[in-house]
Parts: sequence; structure tokens; C-alpha cells
Amino acid sequence: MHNNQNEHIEEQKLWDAFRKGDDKSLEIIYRHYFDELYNYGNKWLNDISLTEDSIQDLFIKLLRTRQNLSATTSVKYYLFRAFRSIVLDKLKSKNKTGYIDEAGKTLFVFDLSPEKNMILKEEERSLQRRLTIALDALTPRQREAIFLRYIEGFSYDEVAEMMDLTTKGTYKLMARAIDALKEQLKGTAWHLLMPSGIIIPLIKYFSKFMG
Amino acid sequence: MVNLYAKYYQYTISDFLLDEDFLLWIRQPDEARDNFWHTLVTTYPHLADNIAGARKLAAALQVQKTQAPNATKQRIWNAVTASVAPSAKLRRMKRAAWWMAAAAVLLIAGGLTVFQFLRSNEVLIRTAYGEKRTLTLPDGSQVVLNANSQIKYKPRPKKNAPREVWVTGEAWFNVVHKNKTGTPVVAADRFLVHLQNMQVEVLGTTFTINTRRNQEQVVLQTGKVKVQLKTRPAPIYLLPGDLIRFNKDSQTLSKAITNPADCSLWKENRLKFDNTPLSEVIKLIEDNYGYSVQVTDSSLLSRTLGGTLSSNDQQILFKALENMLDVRITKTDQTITISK
Repeated sequence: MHNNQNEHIEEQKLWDAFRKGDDKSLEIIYRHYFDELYNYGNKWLNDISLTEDSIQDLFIKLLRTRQNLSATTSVKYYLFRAFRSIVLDKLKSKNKTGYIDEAGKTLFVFDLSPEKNMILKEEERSLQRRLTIALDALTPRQREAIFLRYIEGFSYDEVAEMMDLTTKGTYKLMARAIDALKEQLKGTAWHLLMPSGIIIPLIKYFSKFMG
Repeated sequence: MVNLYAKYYQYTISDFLLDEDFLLWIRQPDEARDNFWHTLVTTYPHLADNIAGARKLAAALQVQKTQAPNATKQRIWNAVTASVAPSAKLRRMKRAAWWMAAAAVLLIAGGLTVFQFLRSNEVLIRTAYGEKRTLTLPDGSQVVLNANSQIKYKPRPKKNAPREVWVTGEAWFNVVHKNKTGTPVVAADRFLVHLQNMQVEVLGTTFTINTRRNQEQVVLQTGKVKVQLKTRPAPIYLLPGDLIRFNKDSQTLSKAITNPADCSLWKENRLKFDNTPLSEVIKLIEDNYGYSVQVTDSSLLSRTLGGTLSSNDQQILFKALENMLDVRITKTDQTITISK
């Protein structure tokens, strides 16, 4: 938590320095967030060169509108929000109708997979496979909300802002998605195999990985 | 504390997954959060399964990030800075434009100043003793400047401003009448002659000015003249042949009628004397030729002179005077001595 806060403060310093004219600060921000933006953009565009173009456009825009940029408590949120509209514009010009349409069903598709250096048990990997299939059955909007909330870690409010929804609407959208995903847990016998008594040590065990 | 936990009593897996605090614990676990959730499980053991399930699900929701090669990152960053570079160039150009604009403003301001200076700049023409000059003013008016006199005027008068000259000594004017159509007189139609104590205003006339010997004299030849004394509010209008004279010593004004042509004979290099005493002739010599004149016998001063003499040549003039007055005139560098 403290590390996280420090990181936030550090980021805000970089952001403010950039706003005051320091290009070097923006380069640090660029290098820090490139991968995340790249992944997110590619989920929409499914086209590496278009995704690269979008990132390029985003940072050109930031440099050009530097004087008009406001202070932000979350640089990541600021970047994602601006990036999202650029990506969706690219998507439109790619002649795709909006992702709400039937034709857009295949948009924002992503496979769940273990994070780098994380070794999962067979059981966990099988859960991920089933969840991936379950995600495909969701709407692109639900998939995006899940992605932004659980994978990128944005708050409800931030997801709502980004997706042009109310916080309540976001909650509903996500609740339905989670309900569908939760069903996949039933396929595993984990809750039958594990008595409550060993849950707490297990939680602690997991915590190590999650950190 | 119990209240904090109570809200979770009926929580399902989904409820936990949607709970902000729960997610914070999973994403950023710390001691305080560990304690909280462990206490919840010990308080409500029935929630243990749901919490574990929610954790399991949250843990499964992860994506391995594909990483772009560093070369790609560098290439895109270079493209970003390169495409913004023209804007820096533009900024430089803008700055250059500002400098150019500033320079232009300075240039124009400087030009205007010089123009105003040239406009307000005055032309001064001065004649030496024995010298006489004819000149044409910018408006076409003729001026004959007698010896030892000067005239000052603006070579580029302002539009709609009256014509103005400043005179000392003796000068004959023939002013061009600018308002010939009879329309109401405007400022630009006027012609002003400034003397030390008076101002002579005309439209289009011929007249002579003389400011020698502590007096200021105007003789009107043709047309009409308005004389305005600085010390007198009421203007005096002259008719042809009128002579007006202001004596600076006594501050008095006298008016007389004269033959105006006689008062401007000097411009034709002629001197006309009509019962003129030697004392007046001496003044004339001193004023126009710059000599200091001495008379050995004061009785000579009352001798009078008649006739017209040419002033073209000093030697001839003095010879003629010697004959007519029956005196002897000896001339040195600066002085003339008149004796019996």
C-alpha cells in the first residue's frame, strides 16, 4: 500500500514536470505504461500496427496539448481514458461498427493466462480455460469492464467514466458478468475438498503470490 | 466493528468479487487488510468458502501481457518526438514572426518620427549684407528677401494647416490666393507672417514687411491684410497703400498712407528718396550693407535728398550720394565716414 502510494506521488511529480515542459518525464511515463496500453489497445484493434499508431497518436497529442492538460491523481487512468477514445476512433475508421453491435461480438476478446513467472496448478489452469470460454459468451462491454476492473485494477468510478456509464450501471454490468463467470467455479471440486479450517493458511499462501 | 463485518454476512462469491475493499485486499494485501478478512472468516466461518471462491476467481482473472520489443518502443517514441518537432519549429517561426512584427513596428514608428521631424523641420534662409534673394515658397508664393534679413518656413506644411512664415528684416511678399472660388475660408487658405510683436494674416496679397530698427512695419500693396498685435486683441485691417508701424520702444502703433510701390523699390535694386534726410539714408546703409556710419559734422544729418538711385553697385551708390549731398564718403573695411 505504501509502495503504491509512493508510486502515485512519483507519477504525479512526473506528470506535473511534463506539464511544465519536461519531455523527459513523459518519456518515463511512456516507457512505464507502454506494455499496458499496448495490450489494451490490441484487445480492441487486434492489429499491432494500428495499436502502435494509437500509442503514437496518444503521446503526440499529450505533447501538443501539454498546456491544456490538467493535474491528475492517476496518470494511468488519464492515459487509458485518452487512449481509449483514440483506439475507438481507429476502430471506427477500420470500418467496424460500434462494439455494441452484433457484428462486434468478437471485439475485446482476451484469453486468460497465467502472468509471467507464475506457475499455476492444473486445476487453476483449467479454471482459466473455462473462464476464457465463459468470457467469450459475454458482451464486449462486459469483457472490457472485467478487463479494466480486474486486470487493470481501475475503480468502479474510473471504469464508469471511461466507458461512459454511471457507477450504478457499471456495477450492474459487472455483476451480471461475474455471475456468469462464477458458474465456472462449480466445475471444480475445490470447495468440497478443502475444509474451512485450511482456508486461512491457504489465503496467506496466495497472498504471497498476489503481492 | 461488528457492524463492519455484518454487511458481509450474506455475501456470495459475486458479492465479494464486486466489493471494492475485497479487491483491494487481493491486489494490495497488507497486514491491516489480512487481519480484517481473517477476522471476518473467524467471525462468520460460513463465508470462508465464498471468500476462497472469490479469491480463486480473481486470481484466475489475469492476462499475460504481451510485451512489444524494446526496439518497437524506441521506434514509436522517436516517431512521437519527431512529429512534435515541427511544432517546435513552428514555435520558433512564431517567435521569429513576433520579432519581425516588432521590427516592423519599430521601423514604421521610426519612419513616422523621421517624417514628422522632416515635416516640422524648418527651412531658414538668411541674406548677408548687400545680398538680396528671391524665393518661392512651397505654395508658390513669391518672397523677395532684402539684405540682412531672414525667413523661416516649413517645407512640408501639414494638410489643412495655414501657411506660416517667420520673418525678421525686410521682405516683400506676393502670396498666392488659394481660395479663389469664394467658398468659405478654411485654415489652409490662410497665410500667416509671424513677426516678433505681430501676426500678419492674408489670403492672397502683395505687401512688404520691415522689422528693422526696433519697429515692425507692414505696407500693403494689393489685396487685404489682417494685422494682429500680440498686445492688442482687436485686429487691424489694412487697405492697399496703408502703412502700419509698431514701435517696440514706445509700444505704440502708428498708421499712415504711403505709396506702397516705393516701399518695395529695393527689390528692384532702386532706392527712392523724397526729401529724405541724411539720417534716414545712414540707417539704410547700416541696415542693408552692414557698415557702421560716422558723420564728422552733425549739421550734415539734416541735409535732404531726392531722386532715385540704383543700389546695384555700392561704389556707384556712394559716389551718387557724395554728389547729391555734397559730402565726402570714405570707406574702410567696416566703417563709412561722411564728412564735408
